[in-house]
Amino acid sequence: MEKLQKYFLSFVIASIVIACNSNLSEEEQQARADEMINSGNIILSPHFQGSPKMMTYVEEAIALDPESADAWRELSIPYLKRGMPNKWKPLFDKAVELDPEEWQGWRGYLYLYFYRNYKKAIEDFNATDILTPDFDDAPQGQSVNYMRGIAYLGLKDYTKSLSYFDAYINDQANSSGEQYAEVTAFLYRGIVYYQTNDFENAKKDFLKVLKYSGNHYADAHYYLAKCFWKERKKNEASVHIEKAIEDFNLGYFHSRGYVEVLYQIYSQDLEELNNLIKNNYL
Amino acid sequence: MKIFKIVVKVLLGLIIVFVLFLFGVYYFKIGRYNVDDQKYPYYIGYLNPQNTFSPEGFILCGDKEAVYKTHHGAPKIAYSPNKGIYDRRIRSNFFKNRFNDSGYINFRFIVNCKGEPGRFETIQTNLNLEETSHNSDLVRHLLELTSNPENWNIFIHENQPRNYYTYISYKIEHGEITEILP
Repeated sequence: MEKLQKYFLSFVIASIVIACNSNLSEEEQQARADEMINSGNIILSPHFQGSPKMMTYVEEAIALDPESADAWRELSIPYLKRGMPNKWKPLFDKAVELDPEEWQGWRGYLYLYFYRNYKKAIEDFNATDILTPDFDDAPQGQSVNYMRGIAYLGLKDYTKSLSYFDAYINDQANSSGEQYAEVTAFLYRGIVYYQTNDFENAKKDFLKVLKYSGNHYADAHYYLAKCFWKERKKNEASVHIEKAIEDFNLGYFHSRGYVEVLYQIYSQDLEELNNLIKNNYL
Repeated sequence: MKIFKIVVKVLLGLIIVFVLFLFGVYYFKIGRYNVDDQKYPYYIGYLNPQNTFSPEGFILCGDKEAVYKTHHGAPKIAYSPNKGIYDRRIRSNFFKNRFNDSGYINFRFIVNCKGEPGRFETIQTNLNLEETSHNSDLVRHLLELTSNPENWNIFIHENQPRNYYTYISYKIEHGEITEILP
């Protein structure tokens, strides 16, 4: 009986929604769908994300405007966050198909961080060069050149990785000052230098990470310790590994929400390096 | 006495108005929106005991079997003792040179209040994230490695151990694990 009442209520509400919307022109339906998705409705907040109510709400926006890329993207996100790539991809692909200028760089961002699919990410980042020429896109606030640097680092193509980090950092330095660049751009460029045994340039970048983060960044201290240890400078290496452990324990290390970062550090990495330095093992 | 009665009535009236206001706000913000029970009977990511795999004796804790961390899993707290150790453990026990598959093998599951994993669902895709089937021995091998209870922490919330949802994704290239995500 309770279920019957629920169905009846749903039927009444659906009828009202359809009746109200059936009188709308195509433009009005598009505007209504856009308002539903982009006006900050509480139904789309994290608390409701992926709930039957939220999914139904987004489906109703798509019913009003099947060309709404934003709505297709919204529908895809719970699948992304909950580890269901088979369901996420077709929905997000639809958003990219409808509005590549807005969403192709974003898809690259997601391929990079959620799937570590560097080649697919680079394909999407490269597409943004054609879609928005002479402009470094920034999906989710992150420069495409910066993310290309990470993607090529993931592929161990250090030459290309370095060229994109250089492009990003130089661009920031020329436009607003290098202090406004992502501090992790220096960290990652330093890692590129470290991987290619260019410890001098690596150290310069790790010191910049510390300069722009109040001298507290476990990753930078850790890699500085590694550089000094490679150069057999025990005192400097000891100082930095101790600071790395201290900063790590205080929570000052590179991390992201939802996913780990490329070159994530763990407490055991620091302890192992500390033991190597203490026991003079190279 | 009369004044007291008037004050009580006014207060009751104000409470009723306030409660009605709250109901109105709830209805306007949330309640008025429809739910398609046919297409979305559960939240996204729900693991149904009918079509998932659980070790014998696996049960969810609590009368309501509440599951935490359903928004995006528990990547920060799930691995015992941490993700770095988990990563090393899995890679060192993984059969090398036995498979040639490429793609992703994902397991979504629930860890109960005793730290036991169950309700496993497997998703297999190629590197383009399109559904496919990988070598069944490879999938079984990864499931065996993943489902070892030693890998998983107990999640405590408000001084009580709780059930929680999480997922893991193995990126495989030419039969080797190249990434363990997220």
